[in-house]
Amino acid sequence: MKRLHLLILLVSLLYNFQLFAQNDIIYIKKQSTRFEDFISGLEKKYNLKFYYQIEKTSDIIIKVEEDSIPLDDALRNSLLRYAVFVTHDNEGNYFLFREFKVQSDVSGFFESLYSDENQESTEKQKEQSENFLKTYDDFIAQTIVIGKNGNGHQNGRKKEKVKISGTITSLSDGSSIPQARLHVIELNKNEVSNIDGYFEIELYPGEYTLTASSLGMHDRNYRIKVLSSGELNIELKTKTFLLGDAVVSANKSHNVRSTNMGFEKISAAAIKELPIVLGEQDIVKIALLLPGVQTVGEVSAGFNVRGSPADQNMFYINDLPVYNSSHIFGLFTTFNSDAISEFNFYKSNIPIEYGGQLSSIFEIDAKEGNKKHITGRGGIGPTSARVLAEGPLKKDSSSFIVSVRSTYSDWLLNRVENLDIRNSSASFYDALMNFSLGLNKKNDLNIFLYGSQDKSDLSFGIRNDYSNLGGTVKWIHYFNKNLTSEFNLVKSQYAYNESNYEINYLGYQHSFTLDHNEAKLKFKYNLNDKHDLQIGLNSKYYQLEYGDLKPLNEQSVIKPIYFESEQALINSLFAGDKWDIFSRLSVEGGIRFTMYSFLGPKTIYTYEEASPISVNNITDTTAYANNDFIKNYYNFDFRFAGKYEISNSFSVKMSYNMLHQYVFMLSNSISVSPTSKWKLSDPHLKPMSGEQYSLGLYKNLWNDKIETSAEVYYKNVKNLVEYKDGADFITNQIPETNIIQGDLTAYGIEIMLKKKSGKLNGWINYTYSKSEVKVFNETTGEMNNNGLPYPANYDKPHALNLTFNYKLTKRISLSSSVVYSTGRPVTYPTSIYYLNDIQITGFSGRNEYRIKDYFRTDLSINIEGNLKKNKLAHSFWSVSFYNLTARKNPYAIVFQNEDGKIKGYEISILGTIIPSITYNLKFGNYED
Amino acid sequence: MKIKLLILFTLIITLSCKEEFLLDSVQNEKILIVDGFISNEPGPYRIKLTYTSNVSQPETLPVKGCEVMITDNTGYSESLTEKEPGNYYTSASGIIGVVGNQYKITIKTSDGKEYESEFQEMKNPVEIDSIYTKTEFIPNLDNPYGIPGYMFYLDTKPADEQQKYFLWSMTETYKYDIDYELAYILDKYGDQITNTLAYDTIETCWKTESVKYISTGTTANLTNNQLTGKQLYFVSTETKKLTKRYSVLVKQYAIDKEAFQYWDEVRKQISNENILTTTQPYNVNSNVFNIADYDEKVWGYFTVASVSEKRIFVDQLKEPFYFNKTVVITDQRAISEYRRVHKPPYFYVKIENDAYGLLAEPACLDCRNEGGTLEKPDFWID
Repeated sequence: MKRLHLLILLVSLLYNFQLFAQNDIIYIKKQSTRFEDFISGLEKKYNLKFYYQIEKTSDIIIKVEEDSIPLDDALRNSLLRYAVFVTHDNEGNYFLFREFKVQSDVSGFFESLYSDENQESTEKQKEQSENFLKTYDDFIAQTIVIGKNGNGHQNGRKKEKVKISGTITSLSDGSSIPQARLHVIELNKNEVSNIDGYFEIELYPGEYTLTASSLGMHDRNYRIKVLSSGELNIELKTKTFLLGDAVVSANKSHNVRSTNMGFEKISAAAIKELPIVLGEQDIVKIALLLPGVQTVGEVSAGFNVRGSPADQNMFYINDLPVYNSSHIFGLFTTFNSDAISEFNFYKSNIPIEYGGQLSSIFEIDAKEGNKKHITGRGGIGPTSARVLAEGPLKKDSSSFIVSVRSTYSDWLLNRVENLDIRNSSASFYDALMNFSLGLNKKNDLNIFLYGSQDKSDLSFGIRNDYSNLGGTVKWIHYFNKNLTSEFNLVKSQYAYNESNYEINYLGYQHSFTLDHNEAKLKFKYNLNDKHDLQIGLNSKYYQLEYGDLKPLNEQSVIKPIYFESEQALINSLFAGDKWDIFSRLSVEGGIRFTMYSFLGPKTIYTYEEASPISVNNITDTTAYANNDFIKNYYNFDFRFAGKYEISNSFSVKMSYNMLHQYVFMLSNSISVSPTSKWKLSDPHLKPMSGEQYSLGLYKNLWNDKIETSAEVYYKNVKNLVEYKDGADFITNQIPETNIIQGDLTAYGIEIMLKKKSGKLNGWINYTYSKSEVKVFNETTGEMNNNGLPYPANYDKPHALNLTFNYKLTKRISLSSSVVYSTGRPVTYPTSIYYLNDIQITGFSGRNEYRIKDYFRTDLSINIEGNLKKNKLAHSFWSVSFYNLTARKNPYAIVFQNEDGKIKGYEISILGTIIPSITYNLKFGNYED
Repeated sequence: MKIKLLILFTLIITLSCKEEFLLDSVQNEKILIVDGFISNEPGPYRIKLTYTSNVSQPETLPVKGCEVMITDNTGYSESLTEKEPGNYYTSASGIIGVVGNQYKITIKTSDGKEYESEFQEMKNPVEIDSIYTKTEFIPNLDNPYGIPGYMFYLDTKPADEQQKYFLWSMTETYKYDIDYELAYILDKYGDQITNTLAYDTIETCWKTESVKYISTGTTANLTNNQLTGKQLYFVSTETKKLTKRYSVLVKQYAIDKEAFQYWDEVRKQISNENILTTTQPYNVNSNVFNIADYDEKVWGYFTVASVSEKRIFVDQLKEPFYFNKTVVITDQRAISEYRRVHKPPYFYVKIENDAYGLLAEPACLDCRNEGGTLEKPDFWID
């Protein structure tokens, strides 16, 4: 055992490296977009303003070679080709200009500004109107000509000192800046402005480099050509952002200005600052540190968002729904963070193009391949190995990316002496391929393939095998600047197979397959500055195969049980609009009409009226033929969201969502297990419908460095699917006899404080929430918990998450997260009684008691390799500790009847400190 | 490509992290349990009132001093008398259930709370057609190929349209012998002494007890109103019940749908031996409620049923038996040791192959010590 721990610690492992996030940056996806579309898109999305006086902008293409490129870099790199230069202020105003002239060698300046390989283009720079520069350009080194030629100061003649005077003012408000320093580099001469910002400086005619600086202001460099006495007025910018370090914050805009609420966007770069759990960085698991997101236990699959059960969320990766997003009982998600560029998480206002999940959408974007050259990376962590390759298919227009992650190291565990462990195993893989094909200027094609699989064989006799497999084809057509269409074909399959051989003569196996086929056509139309319209069609065809329950082998006495398959067709039509009524007030709304058809073949039972739906009450049986429309449901979904900005840094938002869900999960355990089966709405099981109201306040402090928000929500779900008391999961052939539909009511308040930049950054959030289920069918008289409301299984009223990253030095950083939540509710045996001398256990109300509160602290330390610019590879070490306080958080509580008495046991998993060390290496430098 | 790492983690930790916690915080609410019935058989009928007891200290907590009354829909009612603590009886000459009438129970506790049930109709009785057994092998963890025993089956006679729901209770009686036949008795000197206590008269007993199992059934989903081949219960060879002769009295209660739902749920709960299962545990609702506070929890049931009954006898099962016999010492050194420690007389019994052994517990020579009685029951037919 010792040796094993040593091995875990010492195995040096390759890991992919990604650059530490720069804070407050808008990241641009890999793309090739026409300039005007790009700019207008940005203006819409981020509230940026672009100013330019450029001819022939229609010829300019913005090419972004890789995903998650900061906006500035993307613009700079793309525009240099066209000799267009870019700068911006801290209000989100971008200034673009071209063809100004620099008379002499100014590469020294440009080196710091345009640090890449684009310096040759500086040669093209031409003289630029001084006026323009004075107003807008604070970074560009241009030569300013002061005075006039021919006033007796010709070359060769002895020069006399001339006087240059002017004022130094603030660019943002025009106030004069006293005590500003002017430094003439060549002469090492200094001057300081007076109380009115006025200065005078005496120089011989000639060319000089002048730096203006003031406390709290950005330095500004000038190249001046002094011919005679003259005026030079200097404007300095308030120091908020350093070029190439931190730019305009995407989330700054989001937080206060966008209509989005209950929304988080997390980029792959951002997660590098979060603690690594068990050696794996898991972008999607970050969601658990966000307010309103809970999980039943630490090794549980599935998220519970705002008091909803796990099946009311859906994970989409490049439009592909993934029905089981967990590896190894939920320890990891099935998405390799290497291959993800970002994910968007919607928990209040769900985009109208999505229908079918009541609670939340996880929208994951896979990276696009490098369009320039072939590159690769690989890594080995304590649990898995991964490779990723990407490159162009056709230079600059088409690319591919392939990533595979898999577990390894049989050799490691076969060395363990404990037989129970050696005889158990678990393995997983996930892989994706993404092809981006730029067909021509008007058409893009994207082909995406995804697969994941888990296998486990536990020594006590359960063998599981489950997989997701699917692909999407997306064709984007640009009709014109304002109209874009997207056509999607999606096929996704989730399947599992379980064998149970705990008791040999009772060995059985069963399987399940869900096929999701989808087509979606969507048009986006920018009607004008004020309206963004969206309209679309969406068809889904579901096929669910409930494999037969079969004896596992010849010794097994299990009788085979046959289960019928189910199929359904869901057709939807949706339309939405985002309307900026005026600059401070925007609304967003949508409507979605859905026709759900439950199709044959299928045997449908009729039950005695006003009686419980049980086998005992079946009055009639009807066999429907293939593709018979057995039952149709028609529903309208609505979305509405509005935002009003009280000030630039303070806004109020509200949203209302009404949704329907036709596919739900049947699970016999409290968390999502691999053997959870999905079920379609049918004549007996009505579609779930959900409504959510949210209201939020968003306030940014300290010049947007701190974001705060408070959101309240109220949610109610009708026709929630709950198991009947004492339902039999595996062998029941008629699911409706096991199910009872009830109501879910959830409400809560989420308070978030986030610091996004600086040496110390991170967030803290607190959530108070309540999620209650009431199951009482007045028609049939069926109920759970006496018809009284009870806490949902994942109801955890108080939750506090703290996560932060602290950069000790440029090379060492420390991340930690602290998670606290109320223990989840459980039902206790509370009494014993006798009927006819038979001992019977009495229970508390459902979920009346709670297990111990949950508390965990994780810590990880990242140590960067050297930060040299030119090197073959970049590396970093991560040392991480899971559950630093070694608290034994109970995962489950079990009760056993021992000699007629009941005893309770707490079972904890991961109830100790788990250290891990990861070595990360990437070929090429960190900027690649 | 397999990895056992996480399983490893999980196992290492799981194995060491199952910790008992005290159920001190658990509040036993002292819920009233009503256990009683009225049938068309002559009384007296018993209503048993108890409170739930603590999970770590199971006990019977009688509810004393109540006023209990059974009322029918004709207006007739009878007060019950508490003859033992918490056990209330009708008088022997009192109420007898009549098919077609409706009955309800009212209870007034000493602290003034009043409970009652809804009127429930006494259904037509349905005759039992036959009860029969089949030799079956039911596997368990130690015996994967199964332990033999008798499975009891029942066929009803055809019932009328109205009568679809049944509950069965079983009372078993079996004849048994002590485990070993007495061979001789030795005194402290090792000399044989005379059997003065007539041990041969206490070696065969009859024992009667209720079968701690509930069986329910319905014809609601059948086209004909007759149950055939209804599995009632199983008697395994892990007990000595089937060693000589066995009899069971099956009472078939024709009940209404609500009563059936109650007893069927209770049956499911008690046949689910392992309360570790992942399904949500729950309580089954009673038909008795507090008239002032409908939400007060009351468990148990007042069952109104018409009864028919049938008794059958079965002989010894010709299969191996798996029950544990009393300890017999055969090893000479162990016998010496036993005789050094224990006082005489020493009882030797016949074991297989005409060998003899020393019986460790002489009390086992008296079959009454296993709960039986020496008197042959009146109904017993050998």
